[in-house]
Order: sequence, then C-alpha cells, then structure tokens
Amino acid sequence: MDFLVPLLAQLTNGLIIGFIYALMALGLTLIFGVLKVINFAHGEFYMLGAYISYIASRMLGLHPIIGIIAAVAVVFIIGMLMEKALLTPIYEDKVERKDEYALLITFGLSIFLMNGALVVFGPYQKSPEPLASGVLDLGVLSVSSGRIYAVVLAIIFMAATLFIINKTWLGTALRALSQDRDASTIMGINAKTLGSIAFGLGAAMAGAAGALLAPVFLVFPIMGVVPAIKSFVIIILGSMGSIKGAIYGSLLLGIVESLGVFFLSPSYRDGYSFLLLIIILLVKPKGLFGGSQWNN
Amino acid sequence: MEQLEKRILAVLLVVALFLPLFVDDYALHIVILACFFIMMASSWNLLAGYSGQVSFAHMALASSGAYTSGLISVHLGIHPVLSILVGAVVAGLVGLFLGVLTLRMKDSYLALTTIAFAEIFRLVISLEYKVTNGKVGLSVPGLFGDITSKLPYYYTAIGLVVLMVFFGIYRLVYSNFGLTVRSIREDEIAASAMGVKVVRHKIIVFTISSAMAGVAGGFLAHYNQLVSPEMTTITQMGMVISMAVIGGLGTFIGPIIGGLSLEIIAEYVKEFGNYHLMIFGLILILVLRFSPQGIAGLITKFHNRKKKKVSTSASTEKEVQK
Amino acid sequence: MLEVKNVDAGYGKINILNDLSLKARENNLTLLIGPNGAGKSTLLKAIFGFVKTSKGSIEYNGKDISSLPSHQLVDHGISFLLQRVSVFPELTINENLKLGAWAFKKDKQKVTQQLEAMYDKFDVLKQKRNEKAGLMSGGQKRTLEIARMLMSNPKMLLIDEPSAGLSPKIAKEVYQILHGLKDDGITLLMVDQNIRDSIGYSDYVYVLEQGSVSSESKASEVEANLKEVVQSWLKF
Repeated sequence: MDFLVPLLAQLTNGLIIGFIYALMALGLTLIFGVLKVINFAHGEFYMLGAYISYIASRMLGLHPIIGIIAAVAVVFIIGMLMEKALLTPIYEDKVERKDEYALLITFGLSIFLMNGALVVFGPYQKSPEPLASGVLDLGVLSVSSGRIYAVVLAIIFMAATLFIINKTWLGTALRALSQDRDASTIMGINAKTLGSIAFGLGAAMAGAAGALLAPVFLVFPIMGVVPAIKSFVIIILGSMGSIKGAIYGSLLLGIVESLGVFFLSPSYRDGYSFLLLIIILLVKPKGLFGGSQWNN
Repeated sequence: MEQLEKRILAVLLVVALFLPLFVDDYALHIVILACFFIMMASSWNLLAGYSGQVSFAHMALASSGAYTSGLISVHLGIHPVLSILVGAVVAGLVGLFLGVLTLRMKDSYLALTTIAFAEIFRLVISLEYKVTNGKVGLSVPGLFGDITSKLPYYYTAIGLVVLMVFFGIYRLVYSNFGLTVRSIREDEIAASAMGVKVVRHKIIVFTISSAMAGVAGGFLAHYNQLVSPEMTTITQMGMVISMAVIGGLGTFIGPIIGGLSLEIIAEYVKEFGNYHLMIFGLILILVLRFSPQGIAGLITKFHNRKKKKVSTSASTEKEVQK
Repeated sequence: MLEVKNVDAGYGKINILNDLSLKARENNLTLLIGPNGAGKSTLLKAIFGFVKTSKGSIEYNGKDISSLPSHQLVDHGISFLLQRVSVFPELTINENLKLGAWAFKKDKQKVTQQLEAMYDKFDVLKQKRNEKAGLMSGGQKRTLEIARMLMSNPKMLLIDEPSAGLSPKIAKEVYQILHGLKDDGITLLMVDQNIRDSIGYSDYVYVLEQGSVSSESKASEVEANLKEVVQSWLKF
C-alpha cells in the first residue's frame, strides 16, 4: 500500500493543474462559442498574463494578488482590441474563407506576441512573487500553499465567469449570440461589440491562468505553447463549444497526466494529452459531451 | 500561370544558375536555406492555399523525414540519397495517419491536431536522447560525403526546387486532380454534391505535401549534417507560414518569392538580434488583414495597372495620329 | 411611416432590388407578394440592414435609416420576424423573452411588466416558461418569436412568411395574432407566398417582380381578382 500516498499526491496535483487548465480551456470555449473562431494566440495571452503579473509584483512591487488582477484586466483590454482590429472583417463579409482567415491571423498574432516578448524581455526565465510560500500539510499528503492559492483563485475566476454567463444580461446575450447571430441582432444586441467582449473575456481567462501558474512554472516567451495545446486538446475532448465539456475535459486531462507521470514516465507529462487526443479522435471524434451547443 | 509569373521565375532561375560565379559561400549558404524554405512554403501552400487545409505540422513532418533519413543513414550506412527517399515515405505515412485521423472532421480539427502533433513530436525527439541525441542534435553524414564546398549542395538545392516546385507542384495544381482540389477549397459542399470524394482528395493532398516536406527536411539534414528539435518549433512553422502568406497564399509564385525574400531578410536582420520573427509575424497579420494575395497579388495589381496605362497612352497616341 | 425610395440592393455585385419604391402606411398591414426570386425577402433584409443598399433611401418617420447598423433599428421601434425559426433553442422561454427587452434592459420594472403582459397574452408560453425553447413545437416557436418581438414595444414590424411550415389551423392563428396587432397601433410590412390566406388580413398590396414593384392596390381589389394576379406570375 506504500504507493497509495504518492499516487494520491500525484492525483491531487493533477486535479490542481486540471482546474487551471479548465480556466484556460473555458476561455477558449467562450471565444469559440460566441465567435466560432479558434484562438491560436490563446497561449500568448497566457504568457502576457504571466509577464504582467511579473512586472506588477517584481518591478512595481505590488502585492501578487494585485498583479493577478492587473493581468486579468490588461489582457482583457488587449484581447478586446485584438478582436476589433483583426477579427471584425469576418463579420462584415470582407473575407472569403473565414475559418482559414481566423486560423491564420490568430496564429500570426501568436508568432508576433511570442517573438515580441522575446525581443522585449529576452529568453530568460523569470519568476514573479509567489502568492504564498511553504507547504500545506493535509495529513497524509502535503501540497505547496502557492498551488492551493492558485487553484482557489482559479475556481473563483471560473465561478465568476459561469455566473456572468448564466445569470446576467451580458451572459444571456452571449449565449444567444453563440446560438443564432442574426436572431441576436434582431433583439437589438450589438453582435460586434459583444464579440469583442467575449474575446476579451476569453483572453483574460488565459491571462489569469498564466498569472496564477507563473510562480510555479516560471515566465518566458514560449511558456504559452504547451498550455495552449492542452486547451486545444481539451476542447476537442469536451466537444467544441461546450462549457461543461471544457471543465470536465480539463479535470480529466489533469488526472490522466498525473496517472501517466505516476505509472509511465514523468518526463512525458506534456505528451499524454496528445495520446488522449488520438484516442478521442479514433473513438469519439465529436468529443465526450455531444453537441456543439452551449450546454451550461 | 500568367506570362508575368513565368518571366519572373525564368529570370530568377537564370540568376540562380550563374550566381556562384559572383558571390561567396555565405551567400550560397543563404540561398540553399532559402531553397529549403521555398520547398516548405510551396508544399504548405499546396495544402493551405490550394486545398484549404491549414496544417501546423509541416515542419514536424519535415523533421520526421530528416530524423528518419538521418537515423537510417547513420545506423544502416545507407547513402543519403536513398535514406532521404525513405524519410519522405515515412513523412508521407505520418501525414496519411494525421489526415485519416482528422480530415473527416471540420477544418479546425486538422489545425488543432497538427499543432498538438508538432509539439509532441518535438517533445519526443528532445527526450529520446539515446536515439536522437536530444536537444544537441544528431550528426548525420553529408549528402556529398566530406566535401566542404557549397557548390554541389547549391545546385542540388536549385535542382530540387525546380523538380519539386516548378514541375511537381505546378503540374499537380494545374492537373484535373488539382482542379478538383481547388474546387473543394472554393466550395466543399458543392464539390461533394458533384460527386467529388472530398475527404479522399484532402487526404491525398495532405500525404503528398507531407512527403514533399520530408524530402526538404531530409535534404536540409544532410546539408547541415545535423538534425535537431529546433527545426520543429512553432516559431519555425511560423516562418514557413509567413513566407507562404506574405508571398501570396494560393498563388504559384507567392511562396517562392516569400521563401527567398524572407530568408534573405531574416539572415541580415539576425545580425542585429532576434527581431525577424516578430517583424514577420506583424507583416503576416497585416497581409492577411489588408492584402490577402500577398506580394504576388501586389505584383499582379501593379502589372495590370501599368498595362492599362500603356494601353491607354497607346490609344491616345492613335487618336492623335488620326 | 416607412418609405422605400428608389432602392438598389443585392449580394456582392448581383442586384436583387432595382430602383424599388414603396410605402408602408401607418397602422396598415401592407402585404408584399410576387413570384419566387422577386426580391420580397431581400427587401425586408435591406430595410433591416442585413443586406446593404447601394442606391436610394429608406425613410422611417422621415429619417433615412438605410445606413444604421441593424441592431440600432430596434431602438427606433422596428422589429423583424425572420422566415426561418429564430428562437434561441438552448435558452429557456423566459430567457428568450427577456432578450426581446434588450433595448431597455436597465429598466427592470418595465422588463417584468412586459414579461407579465406577454404571459397574459400567450398562455402556452407561461406554462413552459422555464423550458428550453428548442423543445417546443413549430407553432409554439412562432408564437414565442412574435411575443419576443413584441417585448420591445415595436411600432413597425417586418414579417417574412409567417405561416411557413405551419399547419393551416396554426397558420390562421398566427395571422389573427398579427392582424390584431394593428389595434395596438403597430404598422406591419409582410411578405407572404400564401396569398389566399393572408390577403384577407391585409390592407394594401404590392406585387413585386424582378426586384421592383409591378403593381399596387388596395387589398380588397386584389382579393376580388386573385385568380388573375396569380396566373400572371405563371408567365415568368
């Protein structure tokens, strides 16, 4: 029974990471649901969030919590502006192949931001002020308190987002927009503005995830690549556009990774997502949560 | 292809043939790299520009060809010419697998799966250092043995571009098969309503373009005499996409001009720091947003305007003569 | 009320409407009829800004609205009933209705008031208020669409084929509801293929052919020689 405690520790870790993946994947789902666009720059919003929290906490000397809030706010604004600048032609019928355009332009944005960060901050790994130091003793296992804080904040952010989506005018309009764009316009909803807000919110969630994980995984220009790919896998896993799917898919991936680390090999942690993706594509390509609608 | 495009390509080819008489090895090195990127950008354009499938695994597929070729030439002592071909077959098979896996689904699945594949492939070759020598990279024999001269590589690179791009891709695009593929990009539903086997065509194109990437990757490996995971990064993929899109997505000449000019610019900018990819990313965005036909589109536009001017001035002359 | 003046409109370079002019008179139900492809639906879309006009003006109470973005028309009191099903299937009936009040969402009291008014008027919606709209029958969906449209207190309704896909009995109910709206001071502009059933509820009729008005008259006059009108389309 000796292996149980380390296994439990791994699973706890997997769940913690899973919740933070969920934050990021939820952002991607929000963007996809409303705009029908996959944001290939999602990882770079994660990276921006991490750098902003680093700047706030290390360079400006602010409290780490303020750093995280600043990251969310700034990335929200950047996301909104990027959507306005780059994605609006899709809805003005100015682009011939919309999917292709959206794919390539968000990918271009990703390359630009990634290499821009390289120019501005250099390739070195940086570490923002952690939320807390030390470990939390939970009887048989102990978890670093920094991670506990991170996961608690992630859950708060997610709960706030779900509240907005399910209970507010804005959220109802976003869900309406994801289901029928023309019908939303007939209601007097400004689809363009709401689209920008949705993109900003989605980006801000990636930014939040980046800021939360920055002390754990350090900050560097290409830090967003792997988390972004994991959220891509998650949204396929959880059926594209499904909020429930994004959350459960994230937790599932967190657990699969920790099991893989425990039973197979720790160095392949980031590879298990791809294995999972292949299995899903072979067995249930539409994902585990059926339709593409926003079932909340 | 338009007359103008043909003329530009002919001039480029003539210049390329006589270039070694005038420049040093470093310049030849840049042109060799440019040839690699021209092959990559053109074969990616075959996929994205002509058949409308956006893949982010093109560099990873080239890398799979490179590693395959490198490994079997090292371990089995096979001549690189043969091993490159085997590498191309393997790259094609990997492409076939990815295609079968994703192309039944909507377009975005291919993009999502290929970007995941590329990163995971990089992870695997970085970690399996016993086989691949990890991040340091695998030393492989040169295509021409221990010759230090760039000349044979230079002409091989030019030859490969002519063979793969000028003949291979050109013929393919303007064949009946190519016409079908382009019709799929224009309107998939209409094409399938007319009885085109859409998925099968997509998979065939994806496999062909993957094998082409494998050839390019294999050649680069045996030119550099080194294969490393560096080739597979998202950033390198960004370079290829920038070349194809800035040059002109869906045009024949675009990726050739894009590959050549961006590689040359990249080499000169590198001296001042790593700015080139940021700049290319920015130009990529601007081109997509404001001039989706890229440089090729601008050339055509400029040319047409000039032609119009010439013809109007000619007609006014006639008026005057009257 | 609403006046379309010399409008050209279409998709890309293809013009569907050619120099089209007509009027929707206040508190009337104006019917647009004509053969397939005459541009009836395109006209409604052009009025609502879904299709861009390239020439002419669309005046609403004397103000040119042709360059306004579609979503702002609701604030001016114009609502649109699409031909296809346009309920939000994954939202509840209550949420669907609330979105109808988007234009004055900040006035909580007014929203509740309007909701109650709609539930009083349409009992079937009240019973199912917390069910998803996608689960309703075709006729119920159409009722919800009309109620949702009325939430915003519109003055002018654009209606495209209200009876499409409905059984004759339910279609009749829909016509009666729409006709009844005139009593609330609402002006209606309606496209309908189903002339025999709709003409009785109409006040004025325009016949559209190839993107322009080929004839106009009072509904009662058309009703008298309906047969000839319909037969004249068959020549196309």
